[in-house]
Amino acid sequence: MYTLYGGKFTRALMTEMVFAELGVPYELIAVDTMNAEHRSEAFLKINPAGWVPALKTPEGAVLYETPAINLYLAERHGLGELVPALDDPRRGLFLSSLFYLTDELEPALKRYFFPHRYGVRDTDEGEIRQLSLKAVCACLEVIDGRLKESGPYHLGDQFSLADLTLSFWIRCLLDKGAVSEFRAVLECVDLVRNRPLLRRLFANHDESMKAYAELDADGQRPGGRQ
Amino acid sequence: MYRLFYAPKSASMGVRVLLEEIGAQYELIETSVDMNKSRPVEQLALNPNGWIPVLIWEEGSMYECAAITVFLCDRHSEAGLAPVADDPTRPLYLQTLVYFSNSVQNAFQLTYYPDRFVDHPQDEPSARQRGNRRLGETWRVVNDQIGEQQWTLGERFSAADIYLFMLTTWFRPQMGHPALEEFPGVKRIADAVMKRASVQMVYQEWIANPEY
Repeated sequence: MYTLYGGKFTRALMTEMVFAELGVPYELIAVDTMNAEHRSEAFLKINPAGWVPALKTPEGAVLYETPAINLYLAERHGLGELVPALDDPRRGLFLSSLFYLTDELEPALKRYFFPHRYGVRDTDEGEIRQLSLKAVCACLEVIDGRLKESGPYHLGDQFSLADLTLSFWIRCLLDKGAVSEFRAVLECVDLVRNRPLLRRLFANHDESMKAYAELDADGQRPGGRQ
Repeated sequence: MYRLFYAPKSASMGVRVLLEEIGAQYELIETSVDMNKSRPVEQLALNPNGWIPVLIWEEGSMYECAAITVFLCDRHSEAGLAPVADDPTRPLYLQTLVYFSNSVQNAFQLTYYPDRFVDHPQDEPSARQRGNRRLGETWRVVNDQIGEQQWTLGERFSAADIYLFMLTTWFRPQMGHPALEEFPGVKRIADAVMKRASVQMVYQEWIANPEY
């Protein structure tokens, strides 16, 4: 049995979506990151890096980095479905799409949510957030162009982990208006969040982001100072 | 036959080392990472943001260095450069590549391209300073993870070590980056990777002059 360590406002929800699609059972253990439980002695024994989400495999290995956790699970339990098989000619396109989201879109979003980690002075934060949204839109423009050409999913007719990842992040944006022009992206997201196995988790996601927006408007930073 | 859009100092060098290690036939297509220089049309059609590496082969094309690494090592599993799907070190392999390409590479970007992170030139030193701090934080994580292990994933050399080496060639202490010596486990592995014939060939210029 897998154990997923997560908590409020963490990307563990994205991994839960992967589990749901794969139909693989798991145990979820909530870690209270709002009160720094992820830096507690007890949790550091589980994941010495002090990060959530973390996944303990049935073999006892512990891994972190959500995109790696998701790719690992999808390759192990959903090869040929959630990810293309090793000999599928679309595998290159799939990996590129996934890592583009991981290495370009996600860091831009990280700056949007945690601007205080990227400036030295507090006064930098507004500017960093504004510019990060610009970077997010630049990424989405590239993705939107590709989806327009050969959508509705990253792999054409075939839903994959890349679409799930994109949809999770798009639904995170507090300023939803900022992405309204990316029609092909939004169409993909709509298809994904209405998948029968994902509908409930995306509803949880929306609730969670609403709560986050309230904290954010209040000037609180749920991500904490790193 | 692979074709690789290629420019010195960029992440395309790491992909070239992989192709050498695999023993694959490939051709380099010259391009640039300079924002003021134009790119081949074919490259932009595949990756509109103009970044490399971009790799082309008979059945397709790809971008993103970590993605290409996973793809090539799986496609040429006989080269033994990465743990295959059911290997117990596969989780650590994927985790390491994600951490390198996401956290570490973004810290480098903050210092090399501060203008992407702040709007006003007067704020760039702040972003750069934060990038330098972030470089220290991320490389400490990598160094702690390596500990006394011979290689990044443990006992076996892998593509993760090549990726690690590539990243270390981007250290510039005169830019305020931490020194590689601060991360002895990382340095030990980078030194070992540098001895490989593939790396000696691809990184010849850097080895002769790390400030090239």
